[in-house]
Amino acid sequence: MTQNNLGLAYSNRIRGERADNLERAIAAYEQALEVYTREAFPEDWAATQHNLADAYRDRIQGEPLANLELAIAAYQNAAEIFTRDAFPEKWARNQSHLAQTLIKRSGLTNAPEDLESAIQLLQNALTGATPQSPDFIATQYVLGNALTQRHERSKDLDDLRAAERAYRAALEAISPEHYDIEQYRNALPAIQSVMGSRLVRDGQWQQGLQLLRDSNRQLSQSTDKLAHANALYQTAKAHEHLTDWDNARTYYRDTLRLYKHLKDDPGMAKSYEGLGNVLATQGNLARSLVELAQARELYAKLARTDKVSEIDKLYQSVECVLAKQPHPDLTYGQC
Amino acid sequence: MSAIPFTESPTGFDDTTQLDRTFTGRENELSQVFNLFQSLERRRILIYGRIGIGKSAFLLEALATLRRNLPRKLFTYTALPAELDLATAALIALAQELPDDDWAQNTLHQMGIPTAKAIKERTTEASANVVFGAKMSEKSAPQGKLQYPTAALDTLIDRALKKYPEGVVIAIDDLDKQNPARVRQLMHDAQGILKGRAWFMLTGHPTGITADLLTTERGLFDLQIELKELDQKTTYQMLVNYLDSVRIKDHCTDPSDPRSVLPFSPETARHFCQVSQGKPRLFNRLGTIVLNRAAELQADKITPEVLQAGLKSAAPKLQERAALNFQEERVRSRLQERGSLSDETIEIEDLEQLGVRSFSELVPILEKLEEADLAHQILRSDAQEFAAIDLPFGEFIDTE
Ligand SMILES: Nc1ncnc2c1ncn2[C@@H]1O[C@H](COP(=O)(O)OP(=O)(O)O)[C@@H](O)[C@H]1O
Ligand SMILES: [Mg+2]
Repeated sequence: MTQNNLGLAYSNRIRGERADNLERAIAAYEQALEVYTREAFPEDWAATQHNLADAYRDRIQGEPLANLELAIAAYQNAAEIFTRDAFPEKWARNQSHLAQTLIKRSGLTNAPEDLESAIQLLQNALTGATPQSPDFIATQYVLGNALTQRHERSKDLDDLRAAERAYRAALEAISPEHYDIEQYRNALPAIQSVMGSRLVRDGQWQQGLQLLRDSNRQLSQSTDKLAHANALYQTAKAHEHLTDWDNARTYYRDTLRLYKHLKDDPGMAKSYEGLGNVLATQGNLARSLVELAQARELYAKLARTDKVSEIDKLYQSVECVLAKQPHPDLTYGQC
Repeated sequence: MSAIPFTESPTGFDDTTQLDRTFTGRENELSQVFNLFQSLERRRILIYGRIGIGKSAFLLEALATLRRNLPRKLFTYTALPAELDLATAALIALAQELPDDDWAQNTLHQMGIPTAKAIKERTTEASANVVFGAKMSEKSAPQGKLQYPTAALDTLIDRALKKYPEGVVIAIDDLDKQNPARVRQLMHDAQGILKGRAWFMLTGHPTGITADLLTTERGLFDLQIELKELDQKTTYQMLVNYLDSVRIKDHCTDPSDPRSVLPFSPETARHFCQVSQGKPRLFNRLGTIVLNRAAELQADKITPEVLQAGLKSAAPKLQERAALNFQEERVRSRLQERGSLSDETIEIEDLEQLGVRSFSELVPILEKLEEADLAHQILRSDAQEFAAIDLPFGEFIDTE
């Protein structure tokens, strides 16, 4: 077996310690690169660079940001040989993996430029990928993820629409036997719940609620509880926006229950916050304080100082209103 | 007795004589409505209360009386169909009441709805007692959608006001049967027409939309009436009235006369009223079940034993009527076991055992159980809670 193939075997090995395997893969690729020089074996050299990049991208040991930098450099090396004209499919795959790495980095650094370039790369890569091929499907899916992330910042509905198109394209091409089919299937309702909530806030409530209902129904059948919890959260927010407090409260409680079950602290924090807000709006002040205190504690644990002070303010104002209501068994501080 | 007097719902609008003879109580609430009609200024009235408490019956009773006494006002009634907005529903109801108005008939025609004339002809054949235009049936649901229902309704109200200068009243029933989120938006979208020149009477459910319409939209309604359970004395009188409505001779509506509750005895009548909890729909359903059981037993009097047998068959009968599927039955038996279920206290394990992951997936099922009188929602502002309905199977309790 050549070193390149050995590296591949290590990085794809399912059993054994994935971290160790990746280390072995990296060592094997680096060794291979000494044999396959760029001058003598340009194509093999590029393929090894690409594989090495994949291993760095997924590497568990070491400094995460540094690993990603190494991965990016290696993809860029590979790109010198895998040009669009000479190797259209390899070019497309390499670009797509580079994009995934940039997305990963933007998740760490919060840098919008990485996400932007990733989206560009993916959209470009799609023009080279063979339609309906595994690369095409994976690229559409990653593009969907990237656009969803961009929407979180841009709040641009077009990003959501484009993400939905990308997921749909991936789903239409994927075979039902695909090992990741569930993940692909859930992507669509997941994005639809974000879109539904968004449409409700934009005033297209009927369409929005319909999307939310559909996505909740689909996700409730899936094993992806986190995606379901997120969709329930979007639904709660939409009802809160519609000043439908009763339903908002029920959906926040549903969300909270599921995030708790999943031990997802950020999810629990925002559900407590939403629930506390709704209870306060409905005049259930004492109940609201209990939930807000929970939210505060979790945000503190997550070092979300911005959120902590936001909740503190809200907490105090609820306390103030409560203090003005005569209630013999409790004493309140000054407002 | 010539027939079983009890009915599910008061939706026989082509024949309100039954309602006229059976409608009982609510004097205070009715007079609040009538007082408002002393004024010429248009008003908006909201009647709210749980399902089966008697909102539709109240609305129809009020409208029938008003119509008899105020011939120069136009009264229209419609039960809001599931897929319609308020403006379109109001438009159709109003147009059907204006058979001689070409514009109205044209609009109906455009929407693919049988025109009022056709409907009137059909219903007058069936009964000489047309009080209100036919309620909207599936057949009269619009096929063509109007592009600007609000504008069209406005025009039609104008035309109607020329003919009935003292006022046009549009009663829209069954808002309580819709998803509160939908009702909320329907109301929101209909702010313009609600604040326009017609009178409106609406019915709603006490939680959700209605609850905060009352707090946040204080200005929208001039009068809000909550219908609650009838007291025992009124329920007893209601039984008397129902029984009398099917008597061919020996009429008697005096509750102090024991003959007024025949074939019940005063004792079994009281017990029956107690079990019905002053909820008119439950009262009607149980009434049918008890009388049917008595017929099966070939009993000509409702003795304590016969009543007991009737009530015993009630729970299974109600379940049978509800035609629950597997999932609904699972929820029902869990509810029975626990006494109550709420979004606040239910645990993920309970949900998983019921095959769901969120309480919101149970809500439509619990509402269906409420509809079937197998559950009832506990009204509270901090949680959605449903409790089982306890039908007494056990010993005979007399209240005196
Ligand atoms: N005050 C009343 N007197 C006699 N019958 C009543 C009264 N209120 C309601 N009913 C009857 O009880 C049943 C349920 O009432 P309904 O008006 O349909 O309830 P809701 O509209 O609140 O769901 C109907 O058969 C109705 O005719
Ligand atoms: Mg009704």
